[in-house]
Amino acid sequence: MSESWKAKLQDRMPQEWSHEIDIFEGQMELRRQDRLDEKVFAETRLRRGVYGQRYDNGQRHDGIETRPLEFPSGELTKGPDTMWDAPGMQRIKVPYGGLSIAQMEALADLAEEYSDAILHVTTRQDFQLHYIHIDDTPDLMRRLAAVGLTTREACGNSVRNVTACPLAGVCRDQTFDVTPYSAALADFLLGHDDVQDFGRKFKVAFSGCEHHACALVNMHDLGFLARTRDVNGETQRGFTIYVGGGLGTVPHQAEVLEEFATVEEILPISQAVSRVFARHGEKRNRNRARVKFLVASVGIEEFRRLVREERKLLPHDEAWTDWIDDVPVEWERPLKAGMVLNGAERPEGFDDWFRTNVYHQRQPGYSVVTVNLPLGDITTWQMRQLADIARDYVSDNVRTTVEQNIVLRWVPDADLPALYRALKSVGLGDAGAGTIVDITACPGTDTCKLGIASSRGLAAELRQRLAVRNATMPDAVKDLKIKISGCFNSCGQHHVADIGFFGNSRRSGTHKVPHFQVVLGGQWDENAGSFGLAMTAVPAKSVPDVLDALTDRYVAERERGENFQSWVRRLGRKEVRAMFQQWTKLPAYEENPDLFLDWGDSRSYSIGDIGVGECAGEVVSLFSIEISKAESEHFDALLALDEGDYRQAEGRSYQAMLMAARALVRTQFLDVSLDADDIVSEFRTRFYDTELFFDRYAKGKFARYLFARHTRAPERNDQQEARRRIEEAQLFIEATHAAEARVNGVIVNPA
Amino acid sequence: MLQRIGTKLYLADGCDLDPAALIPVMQGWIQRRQLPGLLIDVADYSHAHHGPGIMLIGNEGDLSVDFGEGRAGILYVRKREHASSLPDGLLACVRQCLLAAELLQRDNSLPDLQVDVRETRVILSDRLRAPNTPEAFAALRGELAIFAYRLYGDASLDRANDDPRDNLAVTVSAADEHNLAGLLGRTAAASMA
Repeated sequence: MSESWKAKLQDRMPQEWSHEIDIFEGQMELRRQDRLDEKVFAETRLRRGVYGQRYDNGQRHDGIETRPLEFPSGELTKGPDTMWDAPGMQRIKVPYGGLSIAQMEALADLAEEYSDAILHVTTRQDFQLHYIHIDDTPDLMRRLAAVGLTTREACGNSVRNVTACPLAGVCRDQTFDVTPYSAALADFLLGHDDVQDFGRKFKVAFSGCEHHACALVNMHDLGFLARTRDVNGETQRGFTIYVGGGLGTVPHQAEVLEEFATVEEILPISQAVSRVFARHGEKRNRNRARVKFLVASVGIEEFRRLVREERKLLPHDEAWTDWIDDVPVEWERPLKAGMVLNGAERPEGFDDWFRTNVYHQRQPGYSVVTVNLPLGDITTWQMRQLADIARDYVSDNVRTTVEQNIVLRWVPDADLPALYRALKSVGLGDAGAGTIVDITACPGTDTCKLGIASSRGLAAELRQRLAVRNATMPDAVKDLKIKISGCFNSCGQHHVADIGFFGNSRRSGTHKVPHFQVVLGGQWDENAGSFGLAMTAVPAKSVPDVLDALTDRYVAERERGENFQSWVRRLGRKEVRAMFQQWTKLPAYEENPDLFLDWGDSRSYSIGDIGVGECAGEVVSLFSIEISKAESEHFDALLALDEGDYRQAEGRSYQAMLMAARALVRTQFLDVSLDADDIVSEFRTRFYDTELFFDRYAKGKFARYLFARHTRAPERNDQQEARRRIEEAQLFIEATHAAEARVNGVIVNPA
Repeated sequence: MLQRIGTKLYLADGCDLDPAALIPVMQGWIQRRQLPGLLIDVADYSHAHHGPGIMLIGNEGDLSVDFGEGRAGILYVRKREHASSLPDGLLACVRQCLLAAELLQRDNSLPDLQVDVRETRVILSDRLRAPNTPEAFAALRGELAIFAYRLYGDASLDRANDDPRDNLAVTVSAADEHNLAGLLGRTAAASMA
């Protein structure tokens, strides 16, 4: 049996990914030894998708009082007020939601071994595993890397998972399949130098058509909407590019950056946007650091000018276009020949499921089946069963959705009854996908540090109640969408639902009461075409009654052909508030104590557990992030020395010097490549020849360690030589810190 | 050393259990610190088919009234490193299940709940060191037999399933009758350390 996952999977991981994970593991060790600042480590950790969870500040209100959680690692932290041992969340990126069977099985293994046997699909097509110990994350990442999945930049101030319409390629109304383009951009931006210095996160989406919900480009920092145009009789593919959309506390509709950008231009324009955002975006005030605020502040015309200027200055990169010739005519191949559903026996429940969970593809004889996951959760056992089902019917044609479901694509229609039976047998055959019972909810107070009310508790309750009434519900109600966030930050996307809720609280006497603000009339279609309006806050426990009153009145009063958005507008905010008034007056605690509890929680309600969220990441300088990687490399050199691997120890110490030099160069010149000659040349020109690197006593001595090693590798690799090189690298890194502080006036934590 | 190990005791056939009723019960355990170890929170997964049900999240391990395999039971999975041998570690896990069983059976809000202690499922959740193969089972059988003997005396060991993707799970069946109090006595020396 293998000694470690690292050894076992060494040949199955992309080398670069493997190295990055090693670096992260080294940074963890530095943090344990208090040789890496907790704030720098927090942002480093977030950029590996390792996120904090509720109660990780070491205390919890148990319903009676707030008590300390005495974790065994004592005061060791993994970020400000974030205890090392506290359970955390691991987010895993799934670009455009595309999953293979091998990935599904690996995810199941990881959730079982490191988490709580539950895989949670997020509103960005990611997976999240909860209650993870940070010590388990490097192996978890290696096992993901071995199946082509990464956690890199899943959190933190960088480019989050690139999402795309889950029907891309099979949609009847698409302009063309956006999958290859979303995959190319996700790949290009992953770890790119120009996305390392943002003030906040950055979300990208691809949509194949304008009028469906598709990928919700209007609410994204950067959105791509597929277009074609005729050029000399030939059809040219491209995209309308949107910028500056976003939800959060203050939702913004995106604006058009470019009406038509060719496919050759989407990567360089994205790079230019990234540079503009990094350079001009807010860094100090996190509440105004998303790109939407920058666009709003300078205006779209000026933002466009800045991007176009930047685009002209970008050094050419073959990676912008070298993937285009490889874009296949069909991204996916079906496992089986398409066949019509014709006279086959239909199992009980099939027709209801067929109506809501089956979408006929543009390719005749095939359908997309939505596997409706309650609260976005699937157990590890179910995931393996679903992998088997995929193996039998669709192979690797599986995707996650932003509605927290999974779709199986390219199902031959004739197989639908058998597929339904198979899904039903493992508890995955629930009908109602995309309807009012298919409620989206963020983690809320279950695990999120910012949660104010239990979004998942409310979603579970509403789902249960609505499922009972589903058969008798009018179609106008069935088709409504409910989305719930645990706070005002919109992770549950409440702004773009017909009926949205977000958590808040009110006081009655000496007691707090969990509430949800009701947001009505948001538009899911037209790529999140408009946002809903906040009406009033009602107690969490009253929401089911509020929902009944609202839907009953809608059914009774709607005019022929009038949709929910129009009806809400016609009714007006004043009338809606009047309708809800009976629930807004709070009784005394003694009159109705149940009202003072949250859904799924027997503790007396408290907001004392709300912590500092990590959505915003830590604002840490680019230099701090990059120098910490050099320090980790240096640490690995020391480990290699201890293990007697002197060649590796020497090589890593040289690499550490290069990384440190590059970190310093990038404070002046972002475009320095990873090539060692380039790094040394730029370092020499900018910091040695100018004497910026020189300190009062050593002058340029430490820089000459780098130059000497770069010019000539050591002839011998013994312990003494390796030790000397490691010490030189340490001195060089120290000098780099000092130089950066002198030049930029920023004091970073010295090792 | 296997780090992530667990045991599951099944509820008696015919128990009619509303998972939601377990939430206040487990919240109460946290308030009163009624189980050994650092207890952190309660997670509700009752919406998941054959899932982990209601879970008491801890630092050393998680305890759940679990519905996996379609059989309700009390599952404790140890997740952090422990100094003990595999038999000792498993005895500590099963003791945690037994203590939870005692609390649940005593709780007035759960009148129908009974735990059948004659069978224990052992879970070795470590695909690197203990893959679900006949060879791994054979290699670990000796240590598992020590655990089984210390828990039950005479007992049989059977690999629970042969899907190589699953955890290595072993069904330990007692040859003789046992009750909760008796097993609590037999495991009294087991430690969480």
